[in-house]
Amino acid sequence: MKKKPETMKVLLIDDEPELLEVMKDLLEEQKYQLFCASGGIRGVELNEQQDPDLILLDLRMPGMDGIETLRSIRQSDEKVRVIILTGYGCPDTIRDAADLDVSEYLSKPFENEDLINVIARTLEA
Amino acid sequence: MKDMKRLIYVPILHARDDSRHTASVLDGNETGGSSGSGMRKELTAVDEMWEGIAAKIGELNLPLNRARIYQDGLPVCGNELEVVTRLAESGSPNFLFLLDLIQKRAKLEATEDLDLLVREYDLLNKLLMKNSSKDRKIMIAEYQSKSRELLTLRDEFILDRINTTLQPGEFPVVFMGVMHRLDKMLEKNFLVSYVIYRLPFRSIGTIYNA
Repeated sequence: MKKKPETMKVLLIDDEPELLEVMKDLLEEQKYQLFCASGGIRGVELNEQQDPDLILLDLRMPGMDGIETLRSIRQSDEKVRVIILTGYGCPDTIRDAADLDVSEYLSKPFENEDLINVIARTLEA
Repeated sequence: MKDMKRLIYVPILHARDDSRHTASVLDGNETGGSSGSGMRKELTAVDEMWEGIAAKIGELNLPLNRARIYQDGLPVCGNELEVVTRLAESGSPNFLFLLDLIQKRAKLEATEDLDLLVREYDLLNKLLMKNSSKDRKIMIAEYQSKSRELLTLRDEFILDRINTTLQPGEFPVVFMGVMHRLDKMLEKNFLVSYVIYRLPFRSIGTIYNA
């Protein structure tokens, strides 16, 4: 049976405060339970504490970048689904992300509708 | 500093049926696509990926009359346009988009070495025929290792095609599977602009994306 959004936990890891705010509004409108981290270290902690169904992960962050963050998460969590959101895509990072079993790679800027569809489809899979 | 030519590089994911379709068009034994809800989801994801690529390329307002297209998996065979047309007619969004660019005066270039493609195809077929789950991990590791070697040879061939076929005043538009490392080779001579929107890895699976 298809799960309702309010039973689904989404963890957003991104260092841009404006984007965190916009995404928070957007995902809460869709009734997802949302947790936000403004950096990789906090993201890894929140993943352990909240056991989310899905992570939305920015690649370029100061300190621990997105790929390092995901590598760290994958050491203890092989199952969590991950969508990469990035404004700086190149095949090197795409290949790294593919090796770490991401569900989807989406370039910024994206349409809100596209993101919502990608999230819904990833959570259904 | 030497003026570097711009090159548009589009990393893509292949649908599971792409290589089988290309091979069947080349040997004249065309087959229908697969069916089932998993395959439908995959095809939707692929369609959406190509819609995103088309929109992104459209936004660039490229002078397409000066563009030369290089496509992953399109061999030097003398009837490249026919191959593209037939794959577009079979519904491939990748080849439909190529046809659209060609209709807007972009030139199509034969890109790959046929022998290397056949070797890649045979390797993938061997992997797909093995059903024992016990052997599967070993088979996948073996496939990936051999495929990587082949991929390097394919990339070297494609690099040479770009360097020898690009005409003065033209710029290359390259559609290449994400596992290729051709972009690293191209960066020495070209200013590479990447066009990426969506890459639905889990819907498609990376094993088909050499």
